[in-house]
Amino acid sequence: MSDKTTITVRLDDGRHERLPAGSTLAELVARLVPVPEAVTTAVDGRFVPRAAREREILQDGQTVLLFQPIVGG
Amino acid sequence: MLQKTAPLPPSDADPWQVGAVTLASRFLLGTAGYPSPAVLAEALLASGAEVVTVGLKRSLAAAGDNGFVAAIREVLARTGARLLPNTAGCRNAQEAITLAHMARELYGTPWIKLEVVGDEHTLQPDPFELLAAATQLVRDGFTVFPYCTDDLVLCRRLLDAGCPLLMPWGAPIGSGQGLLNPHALRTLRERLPDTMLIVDAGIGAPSHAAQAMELGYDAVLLNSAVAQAREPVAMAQAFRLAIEAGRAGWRAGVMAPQDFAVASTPVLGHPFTIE
Repeated sequence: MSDKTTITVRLDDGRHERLPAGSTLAELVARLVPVPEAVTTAVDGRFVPRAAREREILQDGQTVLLFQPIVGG
Repeated sequence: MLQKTAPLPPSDADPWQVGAVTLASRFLLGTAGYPSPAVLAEALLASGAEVVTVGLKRSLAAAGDNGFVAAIREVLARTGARLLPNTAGCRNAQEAITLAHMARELYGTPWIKLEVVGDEHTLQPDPFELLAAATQLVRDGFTVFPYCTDDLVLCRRLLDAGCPLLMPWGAPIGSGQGLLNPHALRTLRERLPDTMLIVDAGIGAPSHAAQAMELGYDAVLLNSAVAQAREPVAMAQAFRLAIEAGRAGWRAGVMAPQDFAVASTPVLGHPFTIE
């Protein structure tokens, strides 16, 4: 739930993050990870490039996923 | 009199290409499931692999990677090997396309190993979603390495969509069963003589990799067979030798199998019976 001054977004570990309304994806990423360039992001399943994070205004109820490198086959 | 035969040139004289990239090693190696970062690093070095697969994972839900990614980066810095990110876990074209774009940003390469899984049990590719994803990703400027089945028609569609090569499976991912359908793989080789073909998935033993190369395949991609070996570093070396041997055997021309015996020693009849 949010009032007009805050929004709540869902993160990839299932928890919810409360943010000031008008927060950008860049601001959220900076809060969550020490090195924003070390992750890549998606909002509601849509890839948001690094260069667009500052322009991406988050909305109440959105899901934000952060991905990092991992081993793979 | 013994005939002198020129020795086969070293593997760097038998290169292959993906676009503008020339590769000497025909061994592509995955990085998952190793017992430690140090073993992973040593196995990568022992393999001589110049293409190494990696993935992406959601970062908050899972803990850190315990040094594995750092170990990979260290080996890449030493050897110049290239990363091939995958879209593991994707179940449809849209997921795979999205993850591919994220991988390109994270890893800085347009190469993508395209995996779109159609069944949770067999992890076999969904051919329809795979083709849809490949078509879009080629348009988006990716170099698509499609992990596919051995279906000739699907393979042709992937090539038509702009994939520069194909990666048909030998057997289900991680199963170690080897080449379950060598006939189909042989058919692909014969019907697509000018296409770069890489057997990917299901390899268990070095002999499987050698068999793939003896069929005329251009390279082999594997992961579990090395990572899950009792001694991964030694196994990486064994696979390296097997892939080189299989390739050398194919270049030398493997004899055609016969349905009946053909004596190799040129005796005339029975040695002690005068006819």
